Amino acid sequence: MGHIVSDNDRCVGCLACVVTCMDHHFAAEDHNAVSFRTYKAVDLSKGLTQYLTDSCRHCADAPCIDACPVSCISRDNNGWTKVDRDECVGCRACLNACPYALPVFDAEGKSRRCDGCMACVQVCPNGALRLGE
Amino acid sequence: MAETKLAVCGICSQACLVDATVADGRIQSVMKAQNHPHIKGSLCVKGAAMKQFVHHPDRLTRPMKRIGPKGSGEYVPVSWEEAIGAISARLLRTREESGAKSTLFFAGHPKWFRRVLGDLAAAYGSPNYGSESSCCNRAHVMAWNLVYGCYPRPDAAACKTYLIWSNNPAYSRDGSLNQLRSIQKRGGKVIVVDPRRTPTAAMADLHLQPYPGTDGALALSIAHVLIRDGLYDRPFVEQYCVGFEEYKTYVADFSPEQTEAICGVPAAEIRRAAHMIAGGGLSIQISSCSIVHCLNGVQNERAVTMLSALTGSFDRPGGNGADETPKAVLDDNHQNLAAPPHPEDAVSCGKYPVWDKLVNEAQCIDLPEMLLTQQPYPLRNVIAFGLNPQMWPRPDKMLDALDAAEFLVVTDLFWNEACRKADYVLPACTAIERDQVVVGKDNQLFYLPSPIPAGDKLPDVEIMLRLAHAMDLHSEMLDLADFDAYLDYILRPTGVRLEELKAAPDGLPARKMRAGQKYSYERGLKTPSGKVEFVSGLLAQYHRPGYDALPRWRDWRSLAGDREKYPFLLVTGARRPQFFHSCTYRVPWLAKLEPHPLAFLHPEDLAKLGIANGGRAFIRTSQGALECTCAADIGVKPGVVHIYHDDPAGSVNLLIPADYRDPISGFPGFRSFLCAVEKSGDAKEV
Repeated sequence: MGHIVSDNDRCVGCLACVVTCMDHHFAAEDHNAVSFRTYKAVDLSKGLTQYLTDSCRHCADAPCIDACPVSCISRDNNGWTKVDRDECVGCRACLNACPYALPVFDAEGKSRRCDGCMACVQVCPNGALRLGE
Repeated sequence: MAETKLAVCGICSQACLVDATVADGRIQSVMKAQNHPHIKGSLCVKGAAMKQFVHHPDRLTRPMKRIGPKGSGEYVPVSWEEAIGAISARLLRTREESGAKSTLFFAGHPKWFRRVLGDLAAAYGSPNYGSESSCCNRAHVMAWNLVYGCYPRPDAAACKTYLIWSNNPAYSRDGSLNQLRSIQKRGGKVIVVDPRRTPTAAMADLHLQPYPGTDGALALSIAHVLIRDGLYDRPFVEQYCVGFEEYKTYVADFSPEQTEAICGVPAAEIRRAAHMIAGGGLSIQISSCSIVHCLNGVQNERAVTMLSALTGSFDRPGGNGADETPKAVLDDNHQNLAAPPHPEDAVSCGKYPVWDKLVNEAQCIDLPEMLLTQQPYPLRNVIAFGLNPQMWPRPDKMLDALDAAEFLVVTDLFWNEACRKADYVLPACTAIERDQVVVGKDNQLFYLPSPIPAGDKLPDVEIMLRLAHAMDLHSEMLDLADFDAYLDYILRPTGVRLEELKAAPDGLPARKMRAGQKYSYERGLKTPSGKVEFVSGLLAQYHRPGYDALPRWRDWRSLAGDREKYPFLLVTGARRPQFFHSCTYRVPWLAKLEPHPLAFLHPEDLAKLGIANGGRAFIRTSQGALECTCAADIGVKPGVVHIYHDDPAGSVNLLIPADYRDPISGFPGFRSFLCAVEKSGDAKEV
């Protein structure tokens, strides 16, 4: 399935993608906005500690879909997984099921994920992000 | 109805071009400008949060007049007419009473309006125009000028070796390392010198990782190898340089083995660097203040700059030199200041004599002391466009000093701690709230009307023009009617007028170019000898500690205090991607990316101290202690602590003594001080 693929060798950990995601999904007043891109400081073999980013892989077998007790995760016409935010009860079963721990939760505790808007791909100054398999 | 408009970011100094989607007078989202012929856009993490920055609840929106006691925060809105009238009347009256020099005109960030403010100060008659360049850019430019009589720029397009000395564009510009990739792709080499292993350092062909503030010794050692191994450009040195024999004798003491002990850079890497830069085509890129924030900063940077002459690279293709390509330029160079009237009367004159010779603005790093002691004479009025006490070491002293200013006017974007002390507070536009003219690719010019309304805020230049008109002050620029006339003025060198540009949504090509420039060492340089100076004719005139004519290495670590008590080396200001000085701490999306203040240490040091990654520690200096969250970074040199500055939650500048200065430039030793690290309670997650 398609998802945003990160080339970690090109990534410099500048976090532009992380905040651009917030800019494209939340209002300026929403101080508790969350980014659908996660980031984590990692010790890299090239000798520094740097942020690497990630986002929903929209897996072919998507364990989160089966794990959701209220069946609010489904697949859209493009094959991307999506959460029906109104139905989400915030139980975090999707997070437990995800092998990469990628679902994020907004200020109301609702599960959120990458919707493939491509803003992060466009903003990346180093061409580290692309739409791939 | 949402529309997408080309606009300028302007949060930092880069002026990146963005596509701003706006609706109902507000920014909805931003993206780097894309798919515009002639425009290359870029957007970093700070710019991505632009709507929170521009539409922030702390923005100043109306001119305000203080009605309560200083610091009370009691203000009432007034009209622009009233504010300009009252400020002008005050300035004219105090000029009668105490002379023009009793008024200081100060420019903080940003830089674009500085020429007009310099004109305003000069036309008013005051030699006291100063800026945040008192601790940012000027010492770095001084170092180059002492050696070359000019400030030659690197030539990334044609260099053989690109030597980046303490700069990390991955976090400080638009985040792109593409320029370095393209140098490597065409076979050029990239060397990065940085006390910290950054993403930029990690992609270099060679990374030298010295202890902070040891740049001078490292450069002298590279020179040692170049000379010892006969790799320097002898004809260039003989023909165009002075002082080589003395310099050669001096660098003889800096063998790679001896220098390894000073800098912590392996001797083999020093030799390798020297061999990589030999043969010319060396371009040196230094960020504005990374080297000069040190007790021996100007001398250290002089030593680095000399590698350009030694390799025969200076003012030749591929080396640091003038820009020889004709191009369209706007007449808005913020360093082109009017000569101040009676510079000998400037409030800082005589304290830093080389600054007085090379820099045509007052050195304002002593402003806290000058205001508090009223020495050498009282500064009765401070008229500031951007005034951030966090700029000064011991910002608490600057904040106290603002109480001592009899009359203070602060123009700013945000209601900040300086505004609270001001008599008048004036609201300025952000870059996206004012009309812009920009030069795109292929010398195509654009007029970019502001895509969102500014309300009662004004462009800084408009405020300065109104003050000048009200006081009947004149210069070519001050006589401009308004901000539109200013935009038309800065367009003049292009041969295009504002009115026609306004009518051309796709822009217009420049009709006139600035001719290519060359410094030409053959014609003589603006140094006392007219040549490149290994031994400075200007520094030689002064017999003061630290003013050696040779780029003498002094180890700040033995001068800064008790190393047993303070065993760690403290560096403030190494860039984080999300911060630009104090500007973006108040932006929630950026402030929440990391806990802060955040101290970066090597994991071995944290382990020795028994501090977990994410644990809390006190960073202690002779000035006090600051509690920080600790982050382990394998790219930090053991024994070194990095903390970003200006954090309102805990300012590391409070730990730097006010008088801890480079004697040549007056610059604070922000990037090289001694500290201790002590474990504290409550761990926080990183």
